[in-house]
Amino acid sequence: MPKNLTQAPALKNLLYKKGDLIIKEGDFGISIYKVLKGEVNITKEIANKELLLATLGPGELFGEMAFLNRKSEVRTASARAMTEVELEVWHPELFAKEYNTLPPIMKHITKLMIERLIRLNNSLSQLSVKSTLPQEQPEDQSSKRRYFRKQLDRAGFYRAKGAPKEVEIPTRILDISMVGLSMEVSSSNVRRYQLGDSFEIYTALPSGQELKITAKLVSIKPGSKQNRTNLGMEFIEITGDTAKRLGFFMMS
Amino acid sequence: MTVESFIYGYLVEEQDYADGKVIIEENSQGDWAYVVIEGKIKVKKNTPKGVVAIESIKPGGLFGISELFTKTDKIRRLSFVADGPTKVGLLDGNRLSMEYDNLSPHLQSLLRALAKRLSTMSEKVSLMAVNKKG
Repeated sequence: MPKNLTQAPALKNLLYKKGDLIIKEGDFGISIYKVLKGEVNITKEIANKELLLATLGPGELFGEMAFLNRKSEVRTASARAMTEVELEVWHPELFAKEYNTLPPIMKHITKLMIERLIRLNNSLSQLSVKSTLPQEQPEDQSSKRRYFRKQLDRAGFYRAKGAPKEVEIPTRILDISMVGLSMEVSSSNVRRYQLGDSFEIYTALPSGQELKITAKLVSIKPGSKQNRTNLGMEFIEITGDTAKRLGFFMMS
Repeated sequence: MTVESFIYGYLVEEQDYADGKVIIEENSQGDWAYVVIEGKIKVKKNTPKGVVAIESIKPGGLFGISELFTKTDKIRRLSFVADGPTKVGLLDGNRLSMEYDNLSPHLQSLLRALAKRLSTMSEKVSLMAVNKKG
């Protein structure tokens, strides 16, 4: 095996305080984490309940499912620090090179273990949903606010869905999450809008990667200046590429 | 799923089991690994409320592999039982162990993590299944 592949592919060590969310189920990401110090709870949200899957201690790994199941690259569970935690993060690209040195039999065993884990995950979800159905409550709108929002402050443009492509109304995207964004627009445009209207929104992340999102208007609030209004938007259509870019931005 | 051709290179012998025959018993000690050649295997787990079948393994599937990656504890966490007439292949444990020992520490950690995760997930699923049955 080449020498550089046997060296630790750790990108960096990270420290988390008790209670910190390290990875969130549904987020994009393929880094693998190794616990160096402390305890980490692995949980899965099923029918609005948090199910504890495992408590991991020093020497144990998490995040490997998203790395190995590259079809989705989505986190299948959340990880939260239960104490002060120190983690080693394995760089996905470097580790992928190391992973490719696995003999075929070991790669095959890994693939079969992942397939069985996915099946068990599905069984667990089905069993949990069935056992919690009687207690199921109508969806609480406030739960949407639990999504982490990140400041963006980027220029962009938007148009009402179905409007000609030449229409590019300038806006400023203030913050964004995986499910929505808020943006500041000229108040003169807002008079025509109603809650529930759909818009196509275009902006770019600080990295330069473009985002194209279709969203519906869910709130109208006064902006930071006169003649400016803040619009709250909830995503209704987001392409896989945009979702992936956004996912990585939210984690960075 | 069929048996991958390179798996045959690891076969020590083929064994036939009648329906209901236990191939690996939970809580016994051992690190033999097997591949299902024909038929299927039921995976069972003992719980305080009885035995639960948690999944089936079809031809091409391997079982008994987790213990290859745990050097100190070779206790079987699950039972594997023939579900109908079944042919399995016994894999060369020494060769697999040697291949595992030659892996980098990170790759060994990865395989150990997956084996452990399988064990805890099997336990969770079996407990939930038995509680659901009441």
